[in-house]
Amino acid sequence: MKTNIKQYRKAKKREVDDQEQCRRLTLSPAVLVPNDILTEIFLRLPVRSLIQFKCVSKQWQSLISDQPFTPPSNFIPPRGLFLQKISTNVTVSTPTKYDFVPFDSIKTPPLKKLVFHENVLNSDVIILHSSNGLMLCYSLHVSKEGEFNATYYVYNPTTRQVATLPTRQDCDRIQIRPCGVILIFDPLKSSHYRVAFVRSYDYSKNIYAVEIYSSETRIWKILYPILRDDDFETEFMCGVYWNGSIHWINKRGRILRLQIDGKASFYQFQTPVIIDQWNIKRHCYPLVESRDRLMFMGISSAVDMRFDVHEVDKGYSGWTLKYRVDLNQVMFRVLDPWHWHWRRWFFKTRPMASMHEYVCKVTKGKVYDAKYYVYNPTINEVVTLPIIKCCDLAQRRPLGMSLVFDPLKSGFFKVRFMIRKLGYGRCVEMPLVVRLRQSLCVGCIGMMRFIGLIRKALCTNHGYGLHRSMSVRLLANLFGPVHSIVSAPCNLQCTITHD
Amino acid sequence: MSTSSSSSKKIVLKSADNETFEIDEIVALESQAIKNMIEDECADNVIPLGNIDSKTLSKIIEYCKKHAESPKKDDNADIDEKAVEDLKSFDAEFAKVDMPLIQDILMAANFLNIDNLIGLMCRTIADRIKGKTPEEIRKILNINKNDLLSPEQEAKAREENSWAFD
Repeated sequence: MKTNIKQYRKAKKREVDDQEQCRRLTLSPAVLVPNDILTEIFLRLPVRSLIQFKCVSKQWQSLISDQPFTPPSNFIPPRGLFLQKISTNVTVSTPTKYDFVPFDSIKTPPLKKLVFHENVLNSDVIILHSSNGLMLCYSLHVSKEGEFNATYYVYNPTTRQVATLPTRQDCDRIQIRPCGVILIFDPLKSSHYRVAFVRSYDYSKNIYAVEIYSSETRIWKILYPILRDDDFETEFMCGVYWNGSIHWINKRGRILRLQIDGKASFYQFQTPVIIDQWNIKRHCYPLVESRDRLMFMGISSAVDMRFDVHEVDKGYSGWTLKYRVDLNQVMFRVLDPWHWHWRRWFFKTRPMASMHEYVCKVTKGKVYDAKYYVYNPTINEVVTLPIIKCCDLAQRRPLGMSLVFDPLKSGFFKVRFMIRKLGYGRCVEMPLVVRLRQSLCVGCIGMMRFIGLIRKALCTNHGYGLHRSMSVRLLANLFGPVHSIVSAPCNLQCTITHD
Repeated sequence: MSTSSSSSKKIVLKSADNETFEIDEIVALESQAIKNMIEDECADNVIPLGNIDSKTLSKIIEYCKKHAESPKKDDNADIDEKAVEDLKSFDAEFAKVDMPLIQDILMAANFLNIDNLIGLMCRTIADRIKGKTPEEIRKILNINKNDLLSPEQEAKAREENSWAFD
């Protein structure tokens, strides 16, 4: 009996259409690759390419459109951060730009700035929150009557699709501004997203209503029961969704948990580390969801580069110390974006590390006499900036200032003052260049601000791959060449030592 | 053809252009299809491969030899890293061939059911077509002209997915 593989396989595996196989193998030069092989190739392509390749041929189109994909076992989603650039030019209002810092190899940034066609008023669009590849953004515009109106969007950076959330007409204007916003999106559970707003309820200062918008029903719904915060101490700004509940932290180190999946109800539990007078402006928001775990970052001091990351189980029975993070190593990888945050820090985070203390005294004849310092808390050194000599005292008070410092590029920092020149009505920029000793130490502090921003600009992690039950069309919505994926700082593998 | 020791069992593969390749059984076992045949005792001494030419077959044998020599991952948890690195660089070198040959190897590997090789070839193709335009892909992969979309269909597909083309 003469046997060959072809006959053998035909006999052995009925499901293999052997004749077709045979035809394909001999069909050169116009090769038609079998579907399963083509699928194998597609799985290794970024989604953006895949969508483009729908045009290649009929076979490709039907495969890419219909076939559900599952990622190869070695699929590792890229990780990185979006950083909000802060313009150093304080007089011109430019659109907020974002920079992407990949944690693995160099990837093309998914977006540099947000420009929506839907945003007709062309005001600046700011990222508020994000979740598994979607972002919640808002833009603020002022009407002719002087009313402030915020429009909220859900944005998919991969597909560049924008959904504008409906505004609530029945809301009183005073209450319209939410004190907390959360975007909830878990592609593994549902292809729909939800947005939760926390607003003060019925003019009360300690009673809040949580409203949830679902992309499925396209309506807003108030969630009952109404939330009471008698201590006035809950930080609603950056809630974290995990395990069917939204979590917020209060200043006394308790976590308020609102279960929103199923029957709504409130719970409270203790954080692993109790820090007196927790302040999210001073520290960063300590709650992070990452790879379906709720984590608590025990950042207690603005200058300490090391902190512990604790994790709670789904039954909320207790915290376990998960990681010890040392940012001293990481900061060298992410040095570049530092200087963007300096201005904000300079202005707003004075208590954090006494970075900047300026004395502004009104003396005779309403002349401003201010001194400016740059302080390096690590080496406890103060540099006093020279008095601005350019012009009349009355004009000395700067309209704006910025601190630019990148220790990797130069040991100097620059302070820019915007000063109005008499008679011209126009601003000039006065750069001052000052050398600072041990510049890297200053950088360390910058890092803490950086963490704060990580939490603010962004979001959660993404251990998820492409899910079997979803078509590529949907996958493109979710992930894309998804370098839009972002992770919390505790995902920085290189810095984590397992305890 | 083969120079390996005479003690091990030999398998002879015959290509489409009637060239024969004598290889060790252990090398042939890299192919799941041949393995099944041998286990089921369906294989004669000479296995004819009517749709694989000698150029493709010799490449495949080169690959199987290298991989048969290397320690398997599941055998031993702590295989030395040098061997892994060595295999990686071999794979990288192996894939540096022109596109028609890659496609031939892929088809043959699929036929012979050699998982690692299928993966390597798919990865190579994916890397080469990534970021290319549909026109370039058609040229690179020599897509069958009869299978192309009509101009209207193509325009529609581009319109629907315009975001991906920016």
